Amino acid sequence: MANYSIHIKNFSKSFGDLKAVDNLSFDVNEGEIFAFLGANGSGKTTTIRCLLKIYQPDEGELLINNSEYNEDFNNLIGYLPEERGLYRDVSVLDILVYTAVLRNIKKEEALSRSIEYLKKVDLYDHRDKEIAKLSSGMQQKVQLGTALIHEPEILILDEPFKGLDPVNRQLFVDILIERAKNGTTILYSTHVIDEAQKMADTLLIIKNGKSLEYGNVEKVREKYGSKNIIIDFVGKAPEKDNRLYSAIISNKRAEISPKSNIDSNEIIKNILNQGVKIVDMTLDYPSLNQIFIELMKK
Amino acid sequence: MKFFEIAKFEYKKIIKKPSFWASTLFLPIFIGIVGLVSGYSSMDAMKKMENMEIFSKIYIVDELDLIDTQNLGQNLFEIDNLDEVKDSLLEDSKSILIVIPDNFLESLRYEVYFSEEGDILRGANVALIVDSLLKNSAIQGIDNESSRILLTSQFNSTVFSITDDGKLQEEGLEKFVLPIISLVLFFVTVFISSSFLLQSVSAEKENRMIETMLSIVDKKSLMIGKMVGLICVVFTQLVIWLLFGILIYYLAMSKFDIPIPIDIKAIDLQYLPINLFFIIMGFLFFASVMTGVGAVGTGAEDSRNLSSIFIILSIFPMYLMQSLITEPNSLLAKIFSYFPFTSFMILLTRNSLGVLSVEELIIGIFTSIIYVAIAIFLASKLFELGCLMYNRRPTFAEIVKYFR
Repeated sequence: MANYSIHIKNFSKSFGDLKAVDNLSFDVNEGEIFAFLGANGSGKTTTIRCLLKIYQPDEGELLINNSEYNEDFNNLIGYLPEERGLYRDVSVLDILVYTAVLRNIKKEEALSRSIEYLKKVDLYDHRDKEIAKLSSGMQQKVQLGTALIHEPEILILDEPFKGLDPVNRQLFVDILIERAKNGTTILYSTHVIDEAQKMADTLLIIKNGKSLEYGNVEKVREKYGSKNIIIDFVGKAPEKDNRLYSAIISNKRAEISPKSNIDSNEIIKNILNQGVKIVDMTLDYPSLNQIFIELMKK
Repeated sequence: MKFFEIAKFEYKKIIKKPSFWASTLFLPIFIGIVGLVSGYSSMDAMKKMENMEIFSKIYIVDELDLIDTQNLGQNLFEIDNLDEVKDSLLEDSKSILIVIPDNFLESLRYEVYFSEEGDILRGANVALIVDSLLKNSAIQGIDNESSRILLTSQFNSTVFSITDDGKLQEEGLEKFVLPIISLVLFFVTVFISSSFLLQSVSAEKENRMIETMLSIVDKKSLMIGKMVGLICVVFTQLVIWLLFGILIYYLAMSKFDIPIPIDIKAIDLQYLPINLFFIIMGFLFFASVMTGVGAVGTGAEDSRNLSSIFIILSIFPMYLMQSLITEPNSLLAKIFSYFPFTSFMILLTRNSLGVLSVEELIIGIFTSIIYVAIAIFLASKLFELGCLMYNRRPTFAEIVKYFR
């Protein structure tokens, strides 16, 4: 049998008349970072909750290390739920130690791991503060700590970047990449696509509970047509859409997707003719962002 | 053993809060201060009454010569009429005039005079003074010693009941000690700890901590851990209150020497084990109800509102308490002994009074266990359904469907 950390096959779940997930199948291989992408309400959280038996699936096979989830997996898995929060009247250090002890880590070890984590995320000086007195970004760091404190083999993170500023988002990305390098399997759901392109090995895009795209990130990007052109410009921006291309423009950068059978040289000429001053130019596949938006429009 | 860690955490979380200590210490200190102040003031008032110090001067006009002048103390003065002391009464607001009119034996009515600035409430004490002066004077004229004892003494009784096997059993206030203590224990254990539980579950849901917790421990451990932790909190409170009670008792006894008409050794504890059973069952029942309500409500406030109907149902036996004590085997008492929300308190009270027959006791124990089992089952189902339903309550249709 393959080394799937997570194996989901023909999984469906309904809430009343609403089919939240429809015949979904995917695998998360051991040690990889798996991005589970979809708009709000697409079925990501339902899938994760059914995988962890918080909800009961209607149909299908949902396995973790070849078995259905049971309480024994609690020490193997670190879970960051979408609806998150912490005891507001408990100190930062106490909450980390408590969740660690509940995962059968001895108190002394739990304490030293908690302190180490707090130093890493720059919260050591706040260790005795009540959770309620922390900013929301700080609370997110503590929350991530409760999922990491027992050094799980599998991390399941539901919208881990929700509500984070760019600095803390990068910190989370660094922590997760470091964990993955140490062999942790990571399944995370998001609709923040940029991070997925930076760190994911494999992706699944779902819409209305159905799989739209699934596979290796680079292969998915390759699949979506000819190479894109990324240009950095000053002054006037290029047109967003014309007979040759469509573009996503942000912060003096344009990500240009050629229309079928259009040569990239022709596009560059067209942009220059528009009076755009190009500072830099690279060829790339369509970004995940672009693919995601295209798929969601369908 | 995860429930043990949860219980420990829940216990420490509450014990560390200043609000817990404020509420725990406030009650006995408040009762102690009120008790000491009222004890001291009533003792002081009694002393003053005995010495008639409450008034600076008491003038008496006795038109029938009923009062024996030998009974007059140093602040009592016999005079002839009101005019004689009118100015003195106006000058001294603590002085009064009592007039025993010539028709007193027919009307049994006397007159009291004092200045406008005088304390009208002090007038209530005049009755005691007049009563004492007149009766003491009347007794002076009686030579028969027995009659004097009968007229000057307060009577006490010793009550015996005859048991089914023909034995005589001495009855006293001791009979009511166990029901009262049991009811206090029931109230504190059941209502305080189940309201802690309601707060805890609803706050956990409101804080969005519950999903994280459920990824670490199973629902059963979480529920049991919370229950055990919170019952320990209540137990701590009880111990503190008991210690304060003992301290206040000894302080009051050493200071005021208050007679307590109860022989502690005569309190019959044979009903205590069954009472403890009903207290534990009551706690499990109401704790389950509050867990279910806490999980279904959208937050702490919503859960409190939802719980009010159950709290009203559960305190309903208090309205029946008087008839329950006077007629513990009435039809009403028997009916409510088997209604889920009232059964625990009513069975507890009836058992303390020793009126439950063996058959009733067996049925009561059996129904209590059934009610608790049903409550735990429903609570765990509602917990499963409601704990991850954020910002809304499950509808009735959703609940029915879930239970199917």
